Amino acid sequence: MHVPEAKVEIVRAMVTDAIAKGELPSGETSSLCGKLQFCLSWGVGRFGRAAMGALYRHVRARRPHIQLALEMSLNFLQTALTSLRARDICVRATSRSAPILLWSDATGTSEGESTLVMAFVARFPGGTLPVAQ
Amino acid sequence: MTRRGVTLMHPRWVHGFSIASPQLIAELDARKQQIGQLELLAAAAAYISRFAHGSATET
Repeated sequence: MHVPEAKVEIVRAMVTDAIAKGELPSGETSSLCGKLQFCLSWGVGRFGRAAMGALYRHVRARRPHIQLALEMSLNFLQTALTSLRARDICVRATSRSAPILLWSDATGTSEGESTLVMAFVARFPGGTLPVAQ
Repeated sequence: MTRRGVTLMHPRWVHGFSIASPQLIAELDARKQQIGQLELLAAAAAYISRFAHGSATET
């Protein structure tokens, strides 16, 4: 599982732009937080989440000027975004009961898509039956 | 002597889909977010739909 490179590149460009300008408006910071959560937390197991604290504080501060702590975080995140690796998902049971896997998605909300459809697929694990021998 | 063993069962697949009605869409706030409202609803639908009772397609 991985985040498409095109999506990562958009986020990386936002980070690079903010560092270059030395400013990041509150609205753009909120947008960047959402994109980073998607790229880091969901895609690679919460990697880099701690570095986002400065971004959350920047949203609340409502000052566009980037402080040192935020600049350091952005530099770290910029590097982190260049080193994301695909994540392996193991579906073997690691505890007494095997996991139920669920995939879901929707279409029709993006430009160029017409029909609004949502769908899901669920995989229930194979069970075990006690048998007498 | 009786010894207890196990027989592995195949996994069970269930899938379902629904076309979202205009009334449903009208109830959702238009927000710009990474994971859209309809995508979130799709995830919730898997838990609240009747597939657990056999109305969705099982393969």
